[in-house]
Amino acid sequence: MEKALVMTGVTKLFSTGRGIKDINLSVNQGDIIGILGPNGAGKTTLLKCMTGLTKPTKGKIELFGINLDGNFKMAIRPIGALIGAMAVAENMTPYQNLKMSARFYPEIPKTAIDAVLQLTGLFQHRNEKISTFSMGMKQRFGIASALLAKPRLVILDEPTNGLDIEGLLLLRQAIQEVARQSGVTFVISSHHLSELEQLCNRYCFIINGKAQLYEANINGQSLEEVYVKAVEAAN
Amino acid sequence: MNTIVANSYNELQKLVTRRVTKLFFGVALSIPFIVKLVVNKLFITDWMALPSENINFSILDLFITIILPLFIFIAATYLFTGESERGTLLIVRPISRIELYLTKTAAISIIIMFQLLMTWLSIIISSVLFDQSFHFSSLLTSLAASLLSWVPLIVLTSLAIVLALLVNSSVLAISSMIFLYLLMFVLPYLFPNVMYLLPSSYLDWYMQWFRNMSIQWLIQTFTYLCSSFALYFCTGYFIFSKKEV
Repeated sequence: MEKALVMTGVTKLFSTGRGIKDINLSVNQGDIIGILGPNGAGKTTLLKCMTGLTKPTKGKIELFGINLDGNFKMAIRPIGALIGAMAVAENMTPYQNLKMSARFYPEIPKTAIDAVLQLTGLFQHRNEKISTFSMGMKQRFGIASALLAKPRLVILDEPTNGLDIEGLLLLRQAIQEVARQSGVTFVISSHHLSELEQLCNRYCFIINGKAQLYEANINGQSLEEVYVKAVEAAN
Repeated sequence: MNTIVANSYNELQKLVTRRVTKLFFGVALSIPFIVKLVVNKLFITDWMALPSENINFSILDLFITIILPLFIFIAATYLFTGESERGTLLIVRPISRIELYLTKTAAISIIIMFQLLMTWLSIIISSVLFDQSFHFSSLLTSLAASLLSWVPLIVLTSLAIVLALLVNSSVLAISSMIFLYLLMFVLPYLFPNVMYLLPSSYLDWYMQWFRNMSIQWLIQTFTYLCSSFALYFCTGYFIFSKKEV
C-alpha cells in the first residue's frame, strides 16, 4: 500500500524546551488518523512540520514518497491543509480567496470553487467578505480551502473549533464522503474524542512531545479509555 | 499557470483590493491636477516664473520622495509583517519560499510602476488642460523621468522589506521605516560622505540623465543601485527563508 506520509526521527524543539521529539509516523493512503494529546504537547507543531510551515530541527518527512525538504513544491502539491489562519485575505470574499488558491492548480476546473463552497455550506455567503464571518464560518472556509484542489492527503488542525452542531455534522459527512469516494487520507488533530472515534481508523497520541500509535477498536476499548491510560502511563 | 505568475496576481490582488492602495491611486491622479490648477489658474506669481516642465518635475519629486515611499512602507508592512502577525505569510500551496518572496517584492514594485505611470498620465492631462503652452517633448521627458524613478524606488522597496521582516509588529515596522527614512535625510548634514551610500540620495537620480552627466557616472550610479538591490533582496530572502508560522 502506498504511503501518504512517512516521518522518520522528526524532532522540533523550541527554546522553551517544548516541541516534538524523535517522531516516527507512517500513514497509509486511505487512512484517517486522529492526532490527540494534551494542550502544548506538540500536535500543531507536528502538523506544521508535515506541511513545511515549520522546519524540523532534525529528521525526514516524505509525502507520497517525495522528500518535503528536498522538493517542497512537488511534495506539497497533493496536500490540503487547515492549520492556523483560515483566509489568505480577510478583506476579500471566500470566492475571491479560493480563486487565488486555485491559481496554483491549473488542472482543477472552475466549478471546483463552487463545489467546495456547497460542500461546506458557504455557497450562499460566497460574495460576503470573510472579515464579516463568524468563527465557525471562517472554519468552514478553511475546510473548503483545504479541500479545493482535490488533495490526496488532508491535514486538519482542530477543524471542529467554533463549529455549530450543523457544522460538525457537515464536516463529518464531508470527510466520510471524500474519504469513501476518492480514498483521500486525513490527518486530523482534535480534542473531540467522540468525533475522532466516528471518523478515524488509527490514532496518534502526542504526549510530552513523543508519539504513540494505536489502531481503532483495540480490545474493544473506547478511545477515551485508551487515551486516559496512555496519558497516565506517560506521567 | 506558472507559480510565479499565479502568486504575482494574488499578491497584486491583495494589495489592489485594499482601501489604502485605492487612496494612493486617487492621490496619484488628483495631486497633479490640483497643483496645476493652483499654479496656473490662481496666479501664484513665484511659480508663474517657472517653466511648466519644472513644475512637472516638482510634482514627480513630491511623489518619489514622500508619497510613494510612504506607500512602499505600508505595502511592505502589510505583505510581510502583517501577514506574519496574521499567520498567513507562509502558505500550504505548491510555491517555494524564493518564489513567494520574489512575487511579494514584484507585486509592490509593479504597483509602484502603476502609480508612477498614473502620476505621469495625470501630469500630462493636467498640462494639456491648464498649461499655456504644451510641448510634445515634455511628454517624453516626464515619461522618461517617471520610468527612471522606478529603479531607486525598487531599491527602497527591497530595503523596506528587510525592515518589515526584522520586526514582529506592524506598528513597529511602519514607524521604524519612517524614522529611518527621515534619518536618511538628516544624516548627510552631519556626515556629508554618507550621502553617497544612502538609497534616499538616489530617489531623484532621473535628474542626472537630464543634466548632461557623464555616461560613466550614470553607469556607476546604476551599478550602485543594482548592487544595493541585490544586497537588500538577498538579506531579505535570508530572513524570509528562516521564517516559520
